[in-house]
Amino acid sequence: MRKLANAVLGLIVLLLVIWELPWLYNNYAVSFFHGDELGGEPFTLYSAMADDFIQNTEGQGRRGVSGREYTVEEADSLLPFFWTTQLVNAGRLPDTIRGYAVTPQLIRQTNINYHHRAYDTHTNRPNCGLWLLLESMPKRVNLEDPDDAFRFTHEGIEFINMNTGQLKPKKSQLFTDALQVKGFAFPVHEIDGNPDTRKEYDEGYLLIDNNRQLYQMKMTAGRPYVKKIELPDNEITPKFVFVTEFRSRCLRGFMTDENNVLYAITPAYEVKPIGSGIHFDPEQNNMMIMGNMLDWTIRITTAEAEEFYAVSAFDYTLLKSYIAPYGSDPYLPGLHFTETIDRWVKPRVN
Amino acid sequence: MFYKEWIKTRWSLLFILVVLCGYVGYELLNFLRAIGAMGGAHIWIAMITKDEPMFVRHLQYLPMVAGIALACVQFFPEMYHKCLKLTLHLPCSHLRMMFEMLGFGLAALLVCFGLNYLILWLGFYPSLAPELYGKMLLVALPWYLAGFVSYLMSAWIILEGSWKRRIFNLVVMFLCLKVFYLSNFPGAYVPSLPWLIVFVLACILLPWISIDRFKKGIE
Repeated sequence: MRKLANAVLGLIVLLLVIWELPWLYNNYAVSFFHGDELGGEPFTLYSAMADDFIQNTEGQGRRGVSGREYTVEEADSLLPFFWTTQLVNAGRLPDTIRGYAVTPQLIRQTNINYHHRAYDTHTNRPNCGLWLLLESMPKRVNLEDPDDAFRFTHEGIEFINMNTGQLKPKKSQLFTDALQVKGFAFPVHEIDGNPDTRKEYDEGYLLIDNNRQLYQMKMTAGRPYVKKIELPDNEITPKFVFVTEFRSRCLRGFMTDENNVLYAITPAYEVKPIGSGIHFDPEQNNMMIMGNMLDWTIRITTAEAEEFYAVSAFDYTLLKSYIAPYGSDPYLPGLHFTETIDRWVKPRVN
Repeated sequence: MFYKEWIKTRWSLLFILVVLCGYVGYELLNFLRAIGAMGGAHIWIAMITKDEPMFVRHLQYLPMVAGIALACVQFFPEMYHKCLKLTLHLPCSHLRMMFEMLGFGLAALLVCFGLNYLILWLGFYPSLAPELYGKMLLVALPWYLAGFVSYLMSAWIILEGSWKRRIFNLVVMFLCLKVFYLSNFPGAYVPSLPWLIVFVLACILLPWISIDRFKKGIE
């Protein structure tokens, strides 16, 4: 028994050492020894006028990834959709940009900003399994909190009155029937929506059913609205969906498939690949999209590199790309319980 | 042995139980007051949309402190009054006696923690969906497991005769307990719960190291 007890203690001490020592080194020594190598790419935006990714290098003006240097004023003019207020202040905002009439209001209305962090993905975080469905055509101007929550079961959808905790059988049946009429196969495989009432409008939920088909579900005037979204190719198997609800209503959401190809779901319910098949793994990568009425800059942060893509805002074709691989990894491998890409606490060695 | 431990710890156990249940009652009162003031729907929405340990957060370190307190009450007298030396001279298996002492403490903690869980469940389930009270009970589970670990490791430290080794044990205990407090995200520990339970069971062996060293006269 003494040997067994000592073996247990030895194992505990060993695990603590391979957990804490790399942690101490990675948190305190890496920035000291490898400070210059740390930090990702600076803030980068695509300029259609310069056909270049312009980087906001701190204290060194602006620099294009093509190697060209810009003054701050030049960069402001080359990125008019981003530095709008600056240009308006200086009286330098043009009336038209690449043939399109613009006003500061129109620019603000059509600019988009989207962030995805890997830990937002449902598989990377615990989920209680209850969701809130807003009324997308409220009687008042503002969206209002619902008085019920819903859950998906193997047989249908259930709405629960949040004040009494009782099931709402009529509403549950109504929505279950509406989904089944459109061919929805329970249980739901993937679901995404945003029940925040501070947004301007509500697009409900994007759903992937058990047969890997794509749907939208929302509530309009108390009635279910279910739309089956046709996929462009039967070979595509949807994996994740993300509702966007941009102010400009230029998009219904994003989708990725089993091969991690990124798609846009258009207002006309068309599913189109972005940038001829940009790869984006929502479980592993972070993504930031900053777009305007002409083009989007997509920044995807993977474990190996920072990838920048410029795509057309009209048909999502690739305009330009720039990949900045990371240098050698200065971090020590060891035992970890948490990761930045997910919310789970579990032992892992990397 | 169980009776001896009961005589030694009954008032302290009652105190631990009252404090634990008092805190749980305080959390439930907060919960019921929030429901009364803002309505059930508001609380449901907050619980669905926020990833926080709502209505149980004050319990976080309490089970750990309860475990340390029980170990102190149970094993300090053994060392201070040299009772352990007498106990080890009894014609019984030393291992069995140690397991009986630890078994009593673990059973007492299990009763206290189980009662806590029961009160929480009784308070939550009339007003919340199982998904929501499950979320609250899950977030508290690693804290209660930390209570068992703190009890076993405190016993390991107190029964140790050498101060140098006690300090080493204390560092190991601190780092081990840190594992149970890495995240307050409800449900974050679900994949590691089997590992944590195995760890708790493995910790039962640690006090035997101290007793073995004590028998050898290492101080």
